[in-house]
Order: sequence, then C-alpha cells, then structure tokens
Amino acid sequence: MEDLPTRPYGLDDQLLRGVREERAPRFRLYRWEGVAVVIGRGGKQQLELDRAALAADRVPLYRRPGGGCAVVLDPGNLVVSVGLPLPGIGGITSAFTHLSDWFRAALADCGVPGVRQRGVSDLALDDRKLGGSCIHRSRDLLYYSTTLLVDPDLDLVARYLPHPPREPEYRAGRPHGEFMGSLRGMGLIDDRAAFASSLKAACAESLPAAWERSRGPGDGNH
Amino acid sequence: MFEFILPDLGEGIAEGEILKWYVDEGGDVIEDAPLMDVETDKAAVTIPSPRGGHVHALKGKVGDIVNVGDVVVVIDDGSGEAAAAEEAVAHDTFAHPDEPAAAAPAAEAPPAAQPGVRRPVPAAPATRRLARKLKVDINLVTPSGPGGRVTPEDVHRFAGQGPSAPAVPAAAATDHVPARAVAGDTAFAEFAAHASATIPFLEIEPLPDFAVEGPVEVEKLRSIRRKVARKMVTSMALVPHVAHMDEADVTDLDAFRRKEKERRAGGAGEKLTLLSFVIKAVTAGLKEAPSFNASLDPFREEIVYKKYYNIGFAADTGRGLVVPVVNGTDTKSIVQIADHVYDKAVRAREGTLPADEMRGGTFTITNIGPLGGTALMPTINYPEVAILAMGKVQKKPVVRDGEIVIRKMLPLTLAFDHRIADGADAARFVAELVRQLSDPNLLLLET
Repeated sequence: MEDLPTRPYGLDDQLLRGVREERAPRFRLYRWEGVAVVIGRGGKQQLELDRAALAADRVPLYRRPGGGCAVVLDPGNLVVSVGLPLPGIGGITSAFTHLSDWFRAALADCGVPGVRQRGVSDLALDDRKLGGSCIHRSRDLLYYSTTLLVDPDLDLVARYLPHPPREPEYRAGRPHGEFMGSLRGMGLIDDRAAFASSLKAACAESLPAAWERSRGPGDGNH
Repeated sequence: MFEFILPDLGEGIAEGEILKWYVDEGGDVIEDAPLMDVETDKAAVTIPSPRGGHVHALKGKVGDIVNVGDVVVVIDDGSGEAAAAEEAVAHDTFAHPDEPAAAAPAAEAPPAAQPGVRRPVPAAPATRRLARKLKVDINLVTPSGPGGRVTPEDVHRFAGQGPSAPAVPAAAATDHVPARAVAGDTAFAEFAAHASATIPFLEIEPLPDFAVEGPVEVEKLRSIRRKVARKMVTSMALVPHVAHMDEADVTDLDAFRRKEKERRAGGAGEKLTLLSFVIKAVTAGLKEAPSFNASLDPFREEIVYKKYYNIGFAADTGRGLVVPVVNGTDTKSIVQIADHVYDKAVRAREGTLPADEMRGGTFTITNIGPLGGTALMPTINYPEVAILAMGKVQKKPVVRDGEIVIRKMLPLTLAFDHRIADGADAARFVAELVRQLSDPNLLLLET
C-alpha cells in the first residue's frame, strides 16, 4: 500500500510566529476535537501506521515538525505546545530537560505528582505512559509539544498504530493497552475541564522560570 | 569554498539522521535559509545555511547518519579554495558574532609533504572557541580525543609548540579518516595506506561481500554502540593492558549482606548488592595505591593523581553499555553507595541518566557475575588506568587450615595500564581487595 497523503501540523504555527516576533516564550494548551494521527518529522508510514485502517476510517494524517513516533489524537488528549526563543540551534538536551521538569511540576501542582520522564521523551507514572513529547529546533527557536493522555480512546491507538518500530526499555514489549495509561483511567483526576484549567494556570505561572533555565549555561547554546 | 560541519546540537547528541535536504547539488542556497533536517534521538532539527552560494556537494543522502563534526555540505561562496578550512572553523558552530574568527597566520601553511586530503577535524564548540582565541588553525592540530576529536589540551599543546613541532607526525592530524568514511575505494586506500605506514605489519582490507555466502542483515552502527566502539579502540590502541587475577572468599560477606538486606527491606540499603561492597573496598585500595586512581598524559609525559574517588560501574542497558559514576565514594557509606548504584542503574536502563552522571570516573568496575562466567579480560575505560572485573560468585572447594571446605568465591580481574603500574603493584592492590572482601569487619571500618 502506498503512503497516505499528509498535511503539515500547523496548529502551532501562530504560536511560533508570535514567539519569533516578540522574542518571548509562549505556550498554549488545547484539546483536539476529532480524531487524527500525527506522524513525526522523519516517521515512516509503513512502519508506524496501519494505513489501511486509517484510509478506511478517513482519519486525517498530519506530519509534525518534531521527531518521534506516531500518535493518535482524540478529544481525550490535551496538547501543550511551547515556543522558546533560544539563540543558535544547540542546547536541545538541556532545554528538553528543563521543559520536561516544568511540565511535570505543573502536573504535580494540579494533583498529579510522581510523573517521571522515561525513555527518550515519555512522561510516565510508574510503568504506564501518560504522555509523549517532541522537539523541533530551528535557528533561534525551540518548539516543544507534549501530548497528555487524559482520557483517550486506547482502542483507536491499537487500531491505527501497530507496535512501534522502536520502544523504550520500560515498555518491555507491552501492547498499547497495557503500556499506555490515562489520568482519568488511573483515577488521578475527576473533572477534565477543571483539570485543564488548573494545568493551564500552573504552566503559565512557571514558564518564564523554565525559559530562564533553558537560556542558562547549557549544552551548546551557541 | 566553505565546508559546513554539523554543529553541536546538545549534550549527548553525537549524531543524527538526515531527513531532508532543502537544497540540491548544483543549486543555490541563501544564507539563513533552511539547509537540511536532521533527526536525533531527542529532536528534529532544521539547520539553516550559514552561507549563501552555490551548493558544490552534499555529503550525505536522506537516511544517512551524520556525526557532529562531519562536513555535511560544501558551498561555493566565492571565497576560493585557500580559505575553505578557516571558513569552516569560523562558522561551523554558529559562533557568537563577537567571537573573533581565527585568521590563519600567513607563515603557517600546511606542510607540503602531508599526504591525503585536508579535512576539518571534529572538536567540541568550546575547543573551537579556544582555538580561535589562541589563533590556532584547529585543522592542523593533532587530535588525541576519542574518535579523532581535538581536545582543549591538544589546542594548548599546539599553541605552545607551533605547527612545526607537533607531538606526532602531522600526517596523523590531517589524514584522519572516520571508519565510516572508508566505503569508497579512494578513501579506503588513503586510510589503509596511512594506517599501514603508521603501524608495522598492520594490514587493513575491505570486508568481503558476506551476502555472497548467505543471507545477511546490515545495521548501522549507531549511538551508544558507536561510542563504545570508539572508547574501546582508543583504549586498546593507547594503553598497554596487563591483567592480574585472583579470587576473594566472600562467604562471610555474602552472609552479612543478605542479613542486612533483609533487615533493611523497604528502607535505605534495601538494594545492598555485592557491587556496593566492592566499590567501597576498591576505594580503600585506591587510597593505598594511587597509581590506579590516576591518568597518564602521554603528551606532557605526566601522571595525574586524582585525590577524589569516583567509581564507575558498567551497566548493560537495552541500548548498549553505559558507565554510571558514583562520586565521592570515600565519603559515602556502603548503604549510601548501594542506593546510588541502584538509582543510577535504573535511570541508565531507562535512558534518563544525564550525561554528567556518566562522566568524571576515576576507576571502573564491571560485574559480569549475574550473567555467569568465571573470568573476563576487561578493557580499561580510558583515560582511567585500571578496571576491575567481577565474575560469578560460586561455591568452590578450598583449603582452609589444612582442610577442604566449601566457600563462596568471587573471581576478580584487574586490568591496568602497564605504563603507570607494574605487576607487583597490581598484586598488592588485588591482595588488599581480597583481604577486605573476605572480612566484612574490615570493610565496615571504612564506612
């Protein structure tokens, strides 16, 4: 089967334009209304997607600027995207760490403590994945986006995504349903809307500090 | 011509896969316009072109792995052939505009006798900045770092000596050909000729086509595997290894450990392993034998004795071998060491242990015991000078006070740098280790 047509993931374009113009950090938190699949910048459809199922269900396929494997977005996900003005094209590792710390601290403030960064870019509670992150770095701009599994339909993940071509060690070969968790399914939140609102406030409050840390002496910010 | 080198993208990021070229060979590129997309373990990166001009050559195709420090594209920017190397040095890391670019002194042209093509050498951005500050053409510096990288010490040495008196023949500096590049006949011939000329009897030939004999699967040497390869080749090439072997009777220690571990269940020290006791014993031994906690600088001909004790331990992860480091083991109790070992091992396996927790080791221990095996010959974790290998603890019949008794015996192998230490030093060091491990009371005195 041939590759399906993809659309550029442009939902954060406006955010990034604003960062470039104002030279100040910005973030947004949003929920996807329908169902879509987003593949990474270098993702290979034949390895990461069940193209026949996607075509049959007419699910739109997007290609995001950042790397990583394919994800399914549905109304049960929250997407948090951040743009940071950072000089040069280096400093990826330290910025990634600071942003991951920033987001996990915001989660803790909202009653979800103990989330750790696992694998290359997962957010996990114990051995269950609760989110995934990606980064795209271009000159003087770093774009970070993370997808939080609040109350997703994991059956859709199993339908559209075969077992990924690469996995973190802690996944240990588990299928999607056993590997991925959700905030609601694990009893960590009750009210999705209230949680989203408080998460947005927590993220906004601490983003300037995370930006400052990312701008500090790091690993190659030229 | 301007040779653009893949710049440093972040700590621990040494390579990336080319996802896309925005330019074609023979076409034109505008300064600051997107040049290429590269995907690393952590991120996708759109790299802008640092120069405008005519694209002379792309040094890789989509899907290829490129290393930080590799030339990725050659741009004809009208600057001419002679300025190419200096241009690469001045711009390959997007240096801050206020950093002066190095101007190659007119009298410091490369020696005419150097064979092969002159290539920009790999080096960290800080090293390049240092070279610019000292007005050193980094491409003329003899590299001593892993993978042919130029280190700050190399630059200082070069600045002090000048290009006319390099520590080793200048050809080594300019003829370095990454193993990965030895694919084309010309590059391979160049590499093999230089290597053969440097090392008598060394003969390097291209691998045969194994697919002729039967099915094969080819996998790129990537990430940690490549780093391990570089570290091991560097160590084996630079360090004359000698091994000393012995066995420690850990019967009493093991009984003590098991009892303590049970007592501490659910609290600090619940992961009390034999490794943590060995780390403590090694630390005590290093205080008595500082040669094994040193590094040898072959260029300055100096031995650097470290007065701190940071013990690395080899950890097998799904992604390959890594060496987390427990710092300050002389100031930590065995229980604290055990907790650090457990925590770092878990994070190493998960891939979340930061690079700075795998640096700064002064001595390494590799424990193959849980996987079996009576002994192994470990490779020194250069620039350290010694490594201890632990084999599998086994019950064995041994003679004690004239009688045959069954004891738990731990095989130990100390591999060490014979430039710094001799066999007698190793024998004394290992004998002390054996003594400490055979009597837990001695070890507890160290806590």
